[in-house]
Amino acid sequence: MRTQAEINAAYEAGRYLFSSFNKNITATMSVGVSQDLSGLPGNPVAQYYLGAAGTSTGLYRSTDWGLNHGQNVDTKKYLHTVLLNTITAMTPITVRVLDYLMFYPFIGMDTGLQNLTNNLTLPRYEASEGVQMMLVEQNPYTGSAQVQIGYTNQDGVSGRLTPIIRLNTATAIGTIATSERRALGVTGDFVALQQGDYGVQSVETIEFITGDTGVCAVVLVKPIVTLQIFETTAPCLYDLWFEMGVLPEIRNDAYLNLVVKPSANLAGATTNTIFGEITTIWDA
Amino acid sequence: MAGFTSKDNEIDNMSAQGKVFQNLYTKQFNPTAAAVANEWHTLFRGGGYPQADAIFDTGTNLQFQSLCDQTTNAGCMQHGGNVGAAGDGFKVLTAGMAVTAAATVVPATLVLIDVLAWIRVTSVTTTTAQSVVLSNTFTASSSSGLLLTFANDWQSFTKVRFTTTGTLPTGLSLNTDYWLVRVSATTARVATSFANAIAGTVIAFTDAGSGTHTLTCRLPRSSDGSQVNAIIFNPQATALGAGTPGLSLGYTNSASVASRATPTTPSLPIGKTAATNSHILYTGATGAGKFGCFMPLQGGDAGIQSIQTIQNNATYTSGMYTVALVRKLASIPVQVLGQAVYMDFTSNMYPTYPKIEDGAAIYGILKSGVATPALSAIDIDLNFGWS
Repeated sequence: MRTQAEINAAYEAGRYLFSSFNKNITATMSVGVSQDLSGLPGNPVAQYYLGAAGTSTGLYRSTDWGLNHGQNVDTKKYLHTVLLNTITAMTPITVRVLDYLMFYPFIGMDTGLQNLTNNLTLPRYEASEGVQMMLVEQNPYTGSAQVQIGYTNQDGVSGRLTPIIRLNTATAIGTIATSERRALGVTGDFVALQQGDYGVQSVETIEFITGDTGVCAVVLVKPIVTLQIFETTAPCLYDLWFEMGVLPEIRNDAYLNLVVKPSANLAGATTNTIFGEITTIWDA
Repeated sequence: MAGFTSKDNEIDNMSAQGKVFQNLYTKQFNPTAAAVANEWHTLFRGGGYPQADAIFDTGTNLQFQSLCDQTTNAGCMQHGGNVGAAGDGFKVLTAGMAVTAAATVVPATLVLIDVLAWIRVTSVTTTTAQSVVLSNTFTASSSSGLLLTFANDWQSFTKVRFTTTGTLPTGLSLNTDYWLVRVSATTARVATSFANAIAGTVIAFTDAGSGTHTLTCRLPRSSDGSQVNAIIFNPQATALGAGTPGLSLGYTNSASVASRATPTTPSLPIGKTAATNSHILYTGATGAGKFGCFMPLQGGDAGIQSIQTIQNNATYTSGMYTVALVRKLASIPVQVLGQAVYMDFTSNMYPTYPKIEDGAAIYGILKSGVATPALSAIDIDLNFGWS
């Protein structure tokens, strides 16, 4: 898309896809602690980071579902609009759309250094531009573990080390382990990188300096866009070009899903639903 | 490696050509102590992503220290690397979002800044104007290229110009910018561009020249000082000692006029007694000598090109403070608990197109309208584009 006229032409030529989703937040959420919705029920179907322990495993629309953004294209595809809505009292709530690239599952949290296995390179964003690390709770931990991760950065420089990070105490599966509204040593939704780095190509090691029970996964994601639901029952519609000045590119076979951060505690229930719609468009 | 010529040019570059970088940062407000309402604090030393800085309380007293996104332990927000071939391009901050789930932070104002340089002051019991070390004489020799030897420890990627009483070493010219590649605490090699400095491509040694040579530091970005302001803050966990000094700078303005000074009317900015970690000393709700986040400039000035003197006219009994030279990028109001404020800086909303120069060291400073506990987290999403 090079001009406003080309956006208009995409719709006129039928080069767009409208799809809907609804995810049920069955996990208990805590204020200021982010929750990965990819493993929760609803549409699209849940995925549970299944794969060989500590081994790089890819995520793809064609095999793992995720938000439906349409077929692969020979040109470029873009996310144009997003509509978000909820009838559950969890607003305002921040909603991040991410391209989940690959993950290293079932990492035990015992004290000590673990080497991870890389049988796969990044399936998309191979140059790792802006690819970030998330630490996702796969089986409940007690909390406050301290961890440091070794990785290869956007320039292919290996041996890079994150700072020592403290994990939160939230016990819901799917919790983003590094998010917390107020605690020493947490880093937010993404794992802080070594100074000068802005992308991750692969993860080689993870060391729990202070161990814990529980299991977690390291997930590499490409942030697509961050949005908000401001009020319960009031849908929020975003035209990303008009309101944010960019049409984020959606790569072929991208696995898209959501991470949310509530501003209120919420007991998990199947009736806690975030509804939404996305529209993608693509070049001729 | 530049801005946009039209809306269509913008969408072409950012969407079709993928010249865009987006990231989420999470910074903790006040790493050590709660903040009083309406005080400004830096987010430099707070934890999160990026991690806390470990530089602003380091270095020789009163020495100018250059800063960029490559500086070790800087803890600044990365914005996707350089876009100019010589490290001389720029991006545009197209959009920014801020949100906090910590109720006691809002309402707040977040200001994004590019920190260009800092000067640490440990001699806080001295009440006269103290001179800033901005230049050194040097000798030239050969060691894997032209090697300069001088007195002070200059940061890698410091932008400098050279003067001499005789002839400069071959490869160096007057009135030309160069970048230092630090070798040791008293030596550095020289590169002809920021990109070459990062790559380690340095000027070869031919001769040592003649006479006495001098290097003088320049701001690494916005080098003429246009739009450059100063902040003075406590850079370390230990609170400053007792004292309420008037704070002032002697500086050269962005029009290269020297001997400019912080105005004394209606009052010099007055530092807070026992100011805590990250506090911008002269900010707060009430009282004489309270100002906004930036030090006031002499009438008619549009920026600071360099600082020659720093003065606290009464003692702080202990501690240190740091003077940082900064360029404001954007403001984001954070109004309601958990509610993101999304600012579009392109022509759709606030058409300011903040310029992010290659090497920019992006940080946040924040004023909370309410008393705020330590470690309160704030999420910041930034989108960058370029052509």
